[in-house]
Amino acid sequence: MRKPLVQLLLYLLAPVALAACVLLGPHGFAWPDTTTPIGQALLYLRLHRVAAGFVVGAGLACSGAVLQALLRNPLADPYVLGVSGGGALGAALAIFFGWNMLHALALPAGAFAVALATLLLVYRLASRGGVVSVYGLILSGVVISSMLGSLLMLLVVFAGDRLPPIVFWMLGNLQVSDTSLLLSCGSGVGVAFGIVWLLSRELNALTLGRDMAHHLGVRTEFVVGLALTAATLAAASTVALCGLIGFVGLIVPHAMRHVVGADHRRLLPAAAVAGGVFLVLCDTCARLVVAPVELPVGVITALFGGPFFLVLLRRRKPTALEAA
Amino acid sequence: MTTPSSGPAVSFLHALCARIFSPSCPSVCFLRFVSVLLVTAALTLASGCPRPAPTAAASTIPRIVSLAPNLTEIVCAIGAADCLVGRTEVCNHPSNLVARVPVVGGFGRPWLEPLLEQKPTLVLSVDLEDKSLDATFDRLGIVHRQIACRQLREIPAAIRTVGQLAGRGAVANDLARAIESDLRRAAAEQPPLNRRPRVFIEIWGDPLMTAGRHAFVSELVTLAGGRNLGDELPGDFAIVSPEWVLQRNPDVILCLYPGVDHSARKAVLARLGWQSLHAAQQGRVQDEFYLDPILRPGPRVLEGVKQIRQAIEKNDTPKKSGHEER
Repeated sequence: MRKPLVQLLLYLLAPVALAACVLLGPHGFAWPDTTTPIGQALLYLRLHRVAAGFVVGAGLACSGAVLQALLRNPLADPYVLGVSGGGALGAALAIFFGWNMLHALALPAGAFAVALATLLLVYRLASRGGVVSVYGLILSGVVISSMLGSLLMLLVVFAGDRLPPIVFWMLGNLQVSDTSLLLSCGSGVGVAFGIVWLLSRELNALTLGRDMAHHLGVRTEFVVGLALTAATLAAASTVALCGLIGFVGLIVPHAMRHVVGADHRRLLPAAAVAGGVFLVLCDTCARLVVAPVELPVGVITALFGGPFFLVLLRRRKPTALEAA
Repeated sequence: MTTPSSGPAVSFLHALCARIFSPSCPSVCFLRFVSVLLVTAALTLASGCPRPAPTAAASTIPRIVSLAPNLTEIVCAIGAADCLVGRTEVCNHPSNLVARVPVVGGFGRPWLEPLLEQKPTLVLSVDLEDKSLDATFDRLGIVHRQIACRQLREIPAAIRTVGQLAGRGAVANDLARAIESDLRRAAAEQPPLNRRPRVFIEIWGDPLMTAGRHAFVSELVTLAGGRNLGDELPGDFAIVSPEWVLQRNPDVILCLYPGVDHSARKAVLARLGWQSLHAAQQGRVQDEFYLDPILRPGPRVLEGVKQIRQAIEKNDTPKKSGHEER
């Protein structure tokens, strides 16, 4: 009885929290004066920011939950398969060669393309005779990430006056001004969420191990490939939208597994909503705590999320993922 | 590295060997061989031993390495460019004088080996990234002077200090006095506070970064007759929320970052709601600047003030608004 109640509370409180974040400004709660153009702009800015925060938080949390189940590794996060390294290199290349000056979408497109190419490479390296091993995926992901990191450092060395945009991009920023970018990345996250939610039962079986899932009638290769692609689509969309934001994809799935259980039919929507709300709340803190100065949102996610996660760990019961 | 004395030393050794190993008995030959070995070892040690670098006091003309572009400008402005033996990769002015000077590091970040190759006697910096380098310079007998030159009021004092160190005290004093007098005149010409336009200094567009009250450029805006919105922020630079700029509604926006073909101004005007700002409506979003004199506290400070004043005064005086009265 407790778990459905907590779940219900989560879904009821989420819209309230999001609305509060839209209304919260440096001078407290206030509806911007929408009769003036500046007031309208203020409202649009906050709506864009809250929407971007929700999309990114939901995408990262959902992607993290799926990867932790597929890789059967509690430390897995959306960036484990090299998505962050690929995305960062793609964005840095776009800045380095000046493509971002030609078109506003060149930078996110570059980040997204290299992130997806990285996944394909990692997947190819991890497959032996058509079978993809979990350890192979993690190891090739880590190795490719390191190599991409080195290439990024090489670009940084030669970046010269293009260094600031590369560094700022890597810090992550939720102030997305381009509505079309927000919609396209939001669609990517939405499609990815739909796919993994439809695979919830198969993911439940896969947390017991691939052999057990196979004996339960799951087409493991197909499900693993599809779920990995969807998780990477979600992560790459978030990277393209607002750069690299850590911690959300790691802690929110764990916290939600503790709150609503390990059944992915309940876990995935709860993680998506909680991840979205968590990131929006963190971002609101980041823009208000020393307003008008803005803090990098990653600092707040780590500061708030870390201790919260440790408290949950101290009070935890073994989950299906850990028992397996 | 080949020392200047190694060529004659080698010829001398060749001649000596030919003389010593002329036909003789084996024991004499052996003794001569040992003595040659000893002499060779002594010569090698003597040429290879690290010699203490000459100190500033030992030579009348210092060999100066500048680790900051504003200090390089000061050295050249006081006529001591001939003493400059090393500079950073960002030192670019005066181009005709610094072009011949070897690059020995980045801003406050020397590359030790190329720096030592120039055998400097005096290293000037505004700040060193690696503070432990101070001890290294001491050990090598190189004089290192950290010159405070980040604020407007520090520029004349920095010029005088560099002048004394470079042996150009009189020229430096004249230059410092001229700059002090120009700065005083510029300060006296300022309009009263409530009639000054409110200026948003955009240091970077994405994320939005502005200059705080301790930034050099903020002092220049004040001196040019404006009021920096960022003066309410502590420190030099800060990433700020676009909401804050919209709420403050500046009269002038200065985009102080490189752009191509007004790309910075176009990007500002394309932002949601920014077309409604006073600055945008009065056509006072400016992005065409020669940035070095504005961002670099040095002898060209008045040039920076002039550019900002022209940008602020462009398109006449702003319409009187509630914001200006505050």
